[in-house]
Amino acid sequence: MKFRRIALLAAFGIVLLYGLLVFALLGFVGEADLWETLWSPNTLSAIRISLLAATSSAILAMIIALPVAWALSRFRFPGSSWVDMLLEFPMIVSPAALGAMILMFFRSTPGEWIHSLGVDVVFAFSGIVLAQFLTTVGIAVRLIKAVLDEIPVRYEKVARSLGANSFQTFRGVVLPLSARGLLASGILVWAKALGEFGATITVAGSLPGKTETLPIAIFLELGKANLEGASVLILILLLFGVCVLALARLLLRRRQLA
Amino acid sequence: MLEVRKLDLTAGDFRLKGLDFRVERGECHALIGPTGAGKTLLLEGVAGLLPTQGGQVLMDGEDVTGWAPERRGIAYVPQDLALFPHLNVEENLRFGMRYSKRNSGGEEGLHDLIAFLGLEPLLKRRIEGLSGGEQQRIALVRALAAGRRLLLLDEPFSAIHAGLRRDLWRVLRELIARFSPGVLLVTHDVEEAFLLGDRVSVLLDGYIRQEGVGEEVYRNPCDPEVARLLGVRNLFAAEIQSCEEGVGWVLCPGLGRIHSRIPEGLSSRCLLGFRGHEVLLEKGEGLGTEVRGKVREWFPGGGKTLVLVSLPGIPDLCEIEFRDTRSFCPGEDIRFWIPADKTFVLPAP
Repeated sequence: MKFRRIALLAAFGIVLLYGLLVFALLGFVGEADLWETLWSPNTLSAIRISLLAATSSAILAMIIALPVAWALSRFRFPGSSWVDMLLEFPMIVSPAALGAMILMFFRSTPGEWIHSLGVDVVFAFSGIVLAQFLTTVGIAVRLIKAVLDEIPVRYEKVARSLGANSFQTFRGVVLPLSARGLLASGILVWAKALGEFGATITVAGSLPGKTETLPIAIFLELGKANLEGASVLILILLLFGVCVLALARLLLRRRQLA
Repeated sequence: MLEVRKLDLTAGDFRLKGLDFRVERGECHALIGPTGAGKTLLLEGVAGLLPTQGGQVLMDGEDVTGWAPERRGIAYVPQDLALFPHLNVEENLRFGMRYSKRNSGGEEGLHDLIAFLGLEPLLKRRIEGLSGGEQQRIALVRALAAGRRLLLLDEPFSAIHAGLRRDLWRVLRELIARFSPGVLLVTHDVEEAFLLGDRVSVLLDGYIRQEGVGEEVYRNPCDPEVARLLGVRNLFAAEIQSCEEGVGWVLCPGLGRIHSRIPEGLSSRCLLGFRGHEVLLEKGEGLGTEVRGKVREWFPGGGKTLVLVSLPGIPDLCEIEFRDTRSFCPGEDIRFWIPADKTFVLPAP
């Protein structure tokens, strides 16, 4: 069998596997459960908290990641390879471990000092944002750096020689040229934050109406052996995910065509 | 206008050392060098886009070596022009004006430039649909509209076909005559360098090997490598027999006694050079030497004929070129005339 055929079979195999998972999920969704779970105050609050937290953490991650990615993409500075390597940190540490490290930090002296200033993250909404931010910021840097790497540096050189300073060049040349890629990156970061579970539950717990996000609500429904309720919540999460991924793909495709 | 003193630049293991040259207002200084000679490195160093390792860059007498690129008044035009694809033509032209209000000629200056190069119909067009020639003109106007006093052009015509390239040479000449910017043009095209450059510098192995008025450099390359870079294919070992006030007789095996200009300070062993397209089939006026040889090979085409001639007593072939299409027989005797004023003498390697 030719390698091409094997590769295609593997691709179809994965699609089939995911398809079977979704098919199995749909088998648990009854019409009555669907509307009852969907409109329950608990679900609506989980959706609200999830959307708010994911949006806040994604915006924060993108704002912080943008200059970091630009520096990594454009300059070689002492320690740049270390910074680059440390960005992998959330990817090699499990989310639960990352959450535990956040908790430990807030039990340490600097953490307690921050707490004394009125910043409360443990069992709080801000804890969800912090957990999601720390999980996604490294990915955001990676995605944005890939976008910036594609923009030839000569545009910036010409802009500088025409009288624009480095910030004006960034605003007037780099940002417009990378806008679509940045938007697509933001959407992917948002989707990653929306689905974050391990660090969030470790830091913020699962207080209904306060820190219970959609993934946590799914976990709690499964704990109660309520497969029908869990399946509706999974379906909602899936729907959000599919929509944003489709949007990101559309934006990236347009960018490639442009 | 621009004065570069003992400039040192580094990119990885590659170094440019002790570069000295000037560009005056309204002058085109052509810097010629082979691929990989560091021409782009030099331009980026002058523009302030790369840190320098030593030396000075002066603009109108002011030391701008440590200045940020946007403060130098020097526009860099890269090989592919880097017109901003997210802006239309007019927005590209106005880009520098937004940031250099003090230096630019304002609306009036921009309209002047647009009218001069006939860019009005293109103003609302996107960049991607424009021809190479249109993009060239926009890049030049964009730099001048931003009030840049000096343009650094990095092989700007290399990707343009021959016919259009000549039109653009004329456009550049007219722009310089009308708006008087200084231009530092780097190129590997010998013809372009000498047609556009009021002054010409030759960059080889990290040094400026020769610098001077175009015709002077063309007629008197300083060493064999420079001569080869400038398109000289005929270099023969020779011996100086006599020399008085910069001219004298040189004995060259295979060619005979040749009258030539002879630079000062040469030992008797030397190289004699001449360009193949400057020889004549008939004896010309003035001093010169008639050379006899045998046709080894010939390549007619494109309205000219390249002939490789074997000379008596030496293994090297002489390459001559006629500005018409001719036919020869292999081994046929050939006679040609080398005018004395088209020859030059170089130090032997």
